[in-house]
Amino acid sequence: MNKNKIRVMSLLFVIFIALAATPQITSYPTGLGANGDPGCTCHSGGAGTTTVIIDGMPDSFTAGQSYELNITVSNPSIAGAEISSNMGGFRLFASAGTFSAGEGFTDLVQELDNGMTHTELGNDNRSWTVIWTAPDSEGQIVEFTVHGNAVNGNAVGNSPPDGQSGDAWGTYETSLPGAAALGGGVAMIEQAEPYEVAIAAITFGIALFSLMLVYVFYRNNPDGFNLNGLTEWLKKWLTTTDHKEVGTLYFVYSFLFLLIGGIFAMLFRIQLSVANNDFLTQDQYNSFFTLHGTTMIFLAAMPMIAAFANWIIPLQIGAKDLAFPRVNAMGFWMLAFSSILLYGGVLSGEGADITWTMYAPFSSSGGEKGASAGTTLFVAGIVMLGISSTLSGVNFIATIMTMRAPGVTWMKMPLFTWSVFVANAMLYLSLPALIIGTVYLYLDRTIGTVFYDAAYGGDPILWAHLFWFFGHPEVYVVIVPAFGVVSEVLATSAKRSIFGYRSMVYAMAGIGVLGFIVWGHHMLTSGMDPTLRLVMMLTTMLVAIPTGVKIFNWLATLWGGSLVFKTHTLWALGFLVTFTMGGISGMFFPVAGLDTHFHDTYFVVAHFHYVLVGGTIFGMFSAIYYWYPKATGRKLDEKLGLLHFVITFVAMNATFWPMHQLGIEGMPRRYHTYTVDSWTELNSFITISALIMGSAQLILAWNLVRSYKYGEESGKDPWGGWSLEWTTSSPPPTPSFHEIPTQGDANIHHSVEPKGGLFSKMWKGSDSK
Amino acid sequence: MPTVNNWNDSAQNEGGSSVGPADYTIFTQLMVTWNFWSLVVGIFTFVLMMYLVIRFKEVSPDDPKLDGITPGVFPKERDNLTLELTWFIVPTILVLYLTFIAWQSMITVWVDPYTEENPNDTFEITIEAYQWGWNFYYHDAIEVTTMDENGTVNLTNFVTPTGMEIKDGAMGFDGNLYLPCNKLVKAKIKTLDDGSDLPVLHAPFIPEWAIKEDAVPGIETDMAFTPRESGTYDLFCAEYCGQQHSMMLAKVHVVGECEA
Repeated sequence: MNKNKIRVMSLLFVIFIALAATPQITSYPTGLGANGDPGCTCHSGGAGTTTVIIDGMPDSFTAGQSYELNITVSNPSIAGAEISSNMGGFRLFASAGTFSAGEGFTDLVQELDNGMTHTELGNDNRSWTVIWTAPDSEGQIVEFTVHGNAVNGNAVGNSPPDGQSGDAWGTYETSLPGAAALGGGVAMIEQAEPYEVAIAAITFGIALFSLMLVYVFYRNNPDGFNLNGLTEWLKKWLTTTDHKEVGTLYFVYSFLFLLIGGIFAMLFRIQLSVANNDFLTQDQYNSFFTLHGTTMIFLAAMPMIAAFANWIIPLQIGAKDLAFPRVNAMGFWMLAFSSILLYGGVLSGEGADITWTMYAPFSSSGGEKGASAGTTLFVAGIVMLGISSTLSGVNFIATIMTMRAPGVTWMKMPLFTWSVFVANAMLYLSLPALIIGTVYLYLDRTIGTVFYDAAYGGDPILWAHLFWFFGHPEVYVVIVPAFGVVSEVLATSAKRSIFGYRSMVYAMAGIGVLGFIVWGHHMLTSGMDPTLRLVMMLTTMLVAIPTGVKIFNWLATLWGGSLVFKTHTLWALGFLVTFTMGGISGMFFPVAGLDTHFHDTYFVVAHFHYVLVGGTIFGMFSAIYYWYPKATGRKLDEKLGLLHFVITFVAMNATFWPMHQLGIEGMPRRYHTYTVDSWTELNSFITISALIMGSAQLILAWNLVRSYKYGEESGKDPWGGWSLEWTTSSPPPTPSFHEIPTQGDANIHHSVEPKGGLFSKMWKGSDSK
Repeated sequence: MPTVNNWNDSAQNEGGSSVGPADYTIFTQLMVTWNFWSLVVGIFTFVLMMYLVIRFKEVSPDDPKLDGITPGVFPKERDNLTLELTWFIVPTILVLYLTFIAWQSMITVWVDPYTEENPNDTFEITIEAYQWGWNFYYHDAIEVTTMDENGTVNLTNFVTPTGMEIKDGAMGFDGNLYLPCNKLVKAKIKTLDDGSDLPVLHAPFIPEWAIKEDAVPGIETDMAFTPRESGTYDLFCAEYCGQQHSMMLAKVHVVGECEA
């Protein structure tokens, strides 16, 4: 490694450390960006010589009880008795419970950052009385920290005695156990801060992930394993524009975020496991479920789909690469950096807490009761995601429209290619609404525009319209490619062609069109116009028709076939079961009389997890097992795959099915905790199932790593598929086809020119001569 | 700003009792139909699927590939117009039928059916949402003749004069909502917008009557429902509104005589 490289590396390292440290600095109570009354925080006087004590602490606290605490600062070398102003100050923090002013001290002390400090008037004292109200849970030990200053008047111009400055501070720390934590009760393990758990888990994940990368590198070429080789290897991956390598980047990235999103889900499921729980604070809970939703949709599901689209589309249509390889790489790197913006807030302890729907005007507000500070970063990240998706969308549309090999006509394209085309067309048409909406939101948050502020003539419902005009097509964008995968997998596994190819294409296109006129069903209870409500109810119900056609076509595909049960087949069948259930529960929402109850309850949560986990994720898992041999030349382990499928399928249903019941009973979603005790039973069950489901994904991670080296060799066409990707070697060469292939057509000798009118031409097609 | 802090109220912390909407709501009636058709569709699909999966499973690995499946060749198309039209038309009929049934609920939920004929049978209130709690204003007289079983509410024989607005927290009202039985409750919903609070979206949600509607800053929305059984029910906030969203609770007490 030459000096230049070392310089660049160290510079990058310093920048990274600075980026990681800055939010920490500002979020410390005494940090640069700490807001509020400067109180005693502005002093830079001598350290350690001042004594600070708290009186009035009990031996242990009782839940909800209030205690009067006296804080006293003293420093014999800094005169206190003879001066009367600017004598001292303090800041007091506790890890739990709330503070208020003590009797007679209402003008002297005030709350600040969940702690207590003095006011301007309170400067003139050296002891203060505050009231601390204990938290509801007695099973914890509360840590108290108090910083105190002793000040010699204004200190300026006075000559301090003993060479001291006229200002010295000290810190006192103590802890107070709850009644239950103090022996006698159940032995308590000290709780870790959930933020720390989340960040530790993510850091651990990234470290493990980096180790895995190094291991893969080592395995590729054990002899060439040195630092120079590693940087070369990393450089290759960071600058690649090959569709297969960008696809791999997308896949690795999405899998990492699938696990991170899962960690968040498991943390807030623990919070929800029993009534009146306080495992997470309200702020933590709100920001965790926000990040869970956004991560799963934008950083896990969509990149996972982009990964397979990148890998498979050029292979299926016989193209050498995508139409715009560099734009493609740019799309990925925009996505990668947007995740830093999305997560930036978490590192400062102010993660965005505006839900994945980002409803204005809460999301455009700030301050004590408004959205947290990290929201601005988060919104900027969403704008960047929008740009990234636009870039990858235009790329796929252009590729599929212009780069099909001879013989791959529109009506002879594999259904996965069709599904990606429909999904990206929808994405491309709906994204402007999101980008416009989030740019408005960003402007509202930063330079004080009032797009969503009703007080100045803005419109809060405007956001909901913009968001859902994007948001509903978006959920079809993530499900339609799963349709494509299942079509391929079921046909191949049954050793038959897909039943009703044309009606499958028309159904997908129909879903694509209908998807744009149903967004209002998210807003039936949002004060929308009654006529629109009626229209949206009808259009939403109509979506069931093309979806039903697809499900019955899949079933008919099995007819007369010879179904082989590989792991990808199991996932596709599992998809059929859970997606059908999710589709049926979707029919409950457009009905006004049902939606006024179900809207924003756990019934909704159950429904969209059935279609997103049971639909999109199951479809993508099927794709992983189906196309992994194409990408690596080796099959995934079938036994581990079966184990992964069985555990995930059972745990997934156990997690989300009971949520229907909770929804019927009226449990609202996005609730930090609930007061209805009868909901505890189902919630505990859900939590346990969710933990099992989350852990089961490690089987897949292990399978992916292990099979890369030890999997069974697959050859060109391990499953017996027909489309062009199975005609190249596994893994395919770069560029993917040295010679553009020609797709044959088994119908040529068997079909006749269709007779009759336009309808039967549409049905039978005119391109099968 | 009212001084009553709902979620600190002892009545709030005793735990809710929510078990879902009452039998007489349109929700329950529609659920019967929807559950029935869900079961029909679901059972039909899954039985068909089980049959196909078992009947057409692989017999031996040497089973021939059908339909001319060869790598790089588009296989023979299979379709059956009659079948495909069947599963296009049958779901269409079902969906249109269900839409037709659902139509009536549009009227019941948002358009009050009695107002024109029986103005005396309505009870008008305004629900005002703020971060994080509720104000209830009464535009009609209510006679509260029962006490909360805890005895914490002391409201015997309390009558508000018709037309006068009583804000909660005043005259012994305790931050909870009191409603008469068998009257159409017409609720106007708004956010507190006097500048003392951050106006964001909220949504009063009462599972007992399967009803909710967003409180939207700048406009007034409405909802209507008819309590038919006396008792105490939960009122939640259903639209995410910030830090203490989950603490934005109140109780709804239906008081008075309930015989039809």
